[in-house]
Amino acid sequence: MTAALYRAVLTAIYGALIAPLLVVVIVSFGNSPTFAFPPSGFTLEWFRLFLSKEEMVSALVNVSLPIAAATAVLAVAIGVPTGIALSRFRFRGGGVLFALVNMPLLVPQILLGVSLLLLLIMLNLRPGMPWLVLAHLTITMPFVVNIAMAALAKADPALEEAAMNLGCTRPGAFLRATLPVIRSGVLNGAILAFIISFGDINLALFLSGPGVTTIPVYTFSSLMFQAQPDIAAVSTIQIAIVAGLLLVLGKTVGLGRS
Amino acid sequence: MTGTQRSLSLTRREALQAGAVAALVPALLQLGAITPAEAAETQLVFGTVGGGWLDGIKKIFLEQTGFEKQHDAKVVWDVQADTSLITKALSSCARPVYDLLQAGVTGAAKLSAAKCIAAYDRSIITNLADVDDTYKSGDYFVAVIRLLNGLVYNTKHVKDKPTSWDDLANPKYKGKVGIPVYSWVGSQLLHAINKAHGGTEANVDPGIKASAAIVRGNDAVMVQHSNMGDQLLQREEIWIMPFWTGRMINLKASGVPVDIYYQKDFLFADVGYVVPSHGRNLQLAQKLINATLAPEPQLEILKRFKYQPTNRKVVVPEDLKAAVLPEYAKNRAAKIDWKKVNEYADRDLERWNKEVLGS
Repeated sequence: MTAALYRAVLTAIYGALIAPLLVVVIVSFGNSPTFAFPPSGFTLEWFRLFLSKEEMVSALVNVSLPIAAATAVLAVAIGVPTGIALSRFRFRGGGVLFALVNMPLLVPQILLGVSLLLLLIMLNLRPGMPWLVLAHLTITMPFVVNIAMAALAKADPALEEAAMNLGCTRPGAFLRATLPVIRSGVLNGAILAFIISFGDINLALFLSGPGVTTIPVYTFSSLMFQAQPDIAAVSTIQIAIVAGLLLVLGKTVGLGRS
Repeated sequence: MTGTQRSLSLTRREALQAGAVAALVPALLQLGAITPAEAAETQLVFGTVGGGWLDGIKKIFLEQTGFEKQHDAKVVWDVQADTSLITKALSSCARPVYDLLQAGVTGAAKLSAAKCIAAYDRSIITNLADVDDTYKSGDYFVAVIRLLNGLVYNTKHVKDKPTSWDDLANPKYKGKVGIPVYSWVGSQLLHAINKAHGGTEANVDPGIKASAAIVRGNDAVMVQHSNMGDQLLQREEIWIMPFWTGRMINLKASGVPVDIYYQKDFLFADVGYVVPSHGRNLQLAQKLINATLAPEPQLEILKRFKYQPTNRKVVVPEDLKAAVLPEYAKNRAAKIDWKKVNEYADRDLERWNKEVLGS
């Protein structure tokens, strides 16, 4: 009885979370030009319309995807070593570093966006892709660092010591003994960084520059004026990208398993 | 670790390395976009909202006029929400991000007060001569289109034609009234309601009281944007709301039983283009504004969006007469000094949140 109730509650919670996504997907294939739900028929017209809009395709393919991918890679490249340093070594300023890494979680992102824009203008630079990647790094780093630290907490340091006793150098021991154990955490961090960057609107509203509008900003702007279901079509594509990424990585590296 | 696992592990590493390289390369290539503010010469950076509006203005103002070819220029779009366009223009006042940007009267007034936009050069924007003064604010803003905002109502459910703002507080329509959120048209709406009830830009007491009676007293549905308004009216979830004429015409054409009435102190919103005062392409930007005010593009905008043109030389076709202000409504629009309104913007927002929304 308790198990059945637990399952029912879980189903209801996940159902409520997934339902809006399903509505978007269905509307994107629906034949109504006004987001009518449920649709009276199905069509691929809105996907065709999306593909015919140069700015919109570019916002997805040339802007949002590269930014999210670069953010994920850089967040891992910087965040994992930071997590290792913070969890494995005691050094002066470690506490300050930990606080600094986590600080972006305390600042409303919209304010961060405006502040970074003001900084760029002061430096006589124009908003654009590199700055958006940097901004996304600041908001994704806390997640990557904390996930890496949590994964490291589960990795037994004795494994690394054993590897060194068997002739490995310290970096070699880390790569051979510890990294495989925390692999799942590292990839989870990368995926989270990708998703946060891919879906960000608060920073992108201010830091996306001419010709580099991200797809969430484009979508938001379109919704405010005269949206067509091509917005639902591109949202479906975004959902598919993230779901596909999770699926492929889950199959290849076994996400969730440490 | 088994041999199979080792082999898999190697493949994964290679795959991940390849993935990392593939992910970084396009972004690093884009790093070439790091350019000092002065770099672009013939690029015209145009800040606008997106969606159907962007599709329309691209086609009408650029393709049909041949503007880019004619002036050997390339228009680069910065697609934004309208509020962030103004914020970005204010933030980059000394070194503007845009060469021209879309603005409403209130946004333009803010930019002008901060000395961030330039006065129009009448020798370049020659079409200004064909636009009545009612569409102009100072020498820095002219409306390209006027969006009329009357009481749009469902003719099936609202039997007595609405006649004033007070109809929105009629208990017969409790829970079926739509009100735009403050960040969209709500702030303008507050001042129109305020004028209708005898208030002034400095004294919004009557407007706050009347708005609270609509929003809290009549359980109004807060509408986030035009598209949401369309949907709510279409699904008959709301029966009456202050809404745009163009939207009403399109809804009517799609079979939704709606009509519009322009009550006393009805609202209108002017949309135009302003030029940042320290812009790099001041002349070219104004040439583009001149193109948007010419009769032919204005007629095309009317045909496509059903928004009232501002150039008096535009001959409105008979089937589009519903898109322009009818005779009975002439001189009924709320007369609001937006520069004065801006002086009290913080106070008004605070009062709206506290007294109208009750948050």
